[in-house]
Amino acid sequence: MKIFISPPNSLILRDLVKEGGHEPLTMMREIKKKVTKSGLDSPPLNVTELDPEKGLKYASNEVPSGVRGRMAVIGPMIQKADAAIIVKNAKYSFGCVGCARTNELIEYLLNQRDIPLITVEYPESEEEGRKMIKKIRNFLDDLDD
Amino acid sequence: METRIIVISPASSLTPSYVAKVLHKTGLSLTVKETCFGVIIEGNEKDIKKAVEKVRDLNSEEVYIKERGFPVADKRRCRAEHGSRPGFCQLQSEYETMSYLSKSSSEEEEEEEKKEKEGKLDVEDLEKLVKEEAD
Repeated sequence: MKIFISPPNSLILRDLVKEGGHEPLTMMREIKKKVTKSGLDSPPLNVTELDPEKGLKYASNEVPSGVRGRMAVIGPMIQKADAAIIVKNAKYSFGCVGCARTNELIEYLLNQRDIPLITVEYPESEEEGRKMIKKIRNFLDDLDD
Repeated sequence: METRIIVISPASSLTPSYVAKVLHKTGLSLTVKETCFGVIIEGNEKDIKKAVEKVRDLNSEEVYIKERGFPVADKRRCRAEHGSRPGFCQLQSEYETMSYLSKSSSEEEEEEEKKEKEGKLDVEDLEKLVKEEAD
């Protein structure tokens, strides 16, 4: 099954999903398609005028461009997903790497889709870490059934 | 070409240099770059798959692997090209988190799971136990 992970660039989540025998939908894979595409449309990162258009499908014109830009990549991933794992309050999901409004929009769009979904808190201790791994593993095992 | 970032958990006894050596010994056609957090590998899909299996065989509990969008030493990302550090804030943050993540379940957890599976005691059995205790 194709599993959407949030944060979409998470190393830990990607690894857990892959080990669980599913296909993780990650930001890295989408970025790879852009930056390694032969014949550069718009060097160095291949962001073309078509990307904001894709983003407009998920966020309106008034929404900050950062949200629309992110949604241009993340939106189609949400559409493809058969299930999703959301880890809330990850430190890096807000600040120089992430975007809080995009995270809210991702959560909203995933809730709109009728797919299996699990929401867990980002672990801050060893015990919380163990619980998170267990919950995610159980979720992935249940998907197999 | 496929690129993978292999990150070794801070709790692990494995070292990036050891993992790099093991990968070199496999004789696969790979670019192996040793870094402070682990190893970055690049090669064709078949070789990458074999390399990932090899690394997981070393210790799958303490090794985390993900794809990388940019190729190894890509001029748009590599620090060697333009000096300033582009930032690995997310990787750094997840590296900290890894120290208290354990992919393998402890003995205590396994016992708890067993108890959960066994379920609650039957009323009749409980009554028997109470009677036995009373006698």
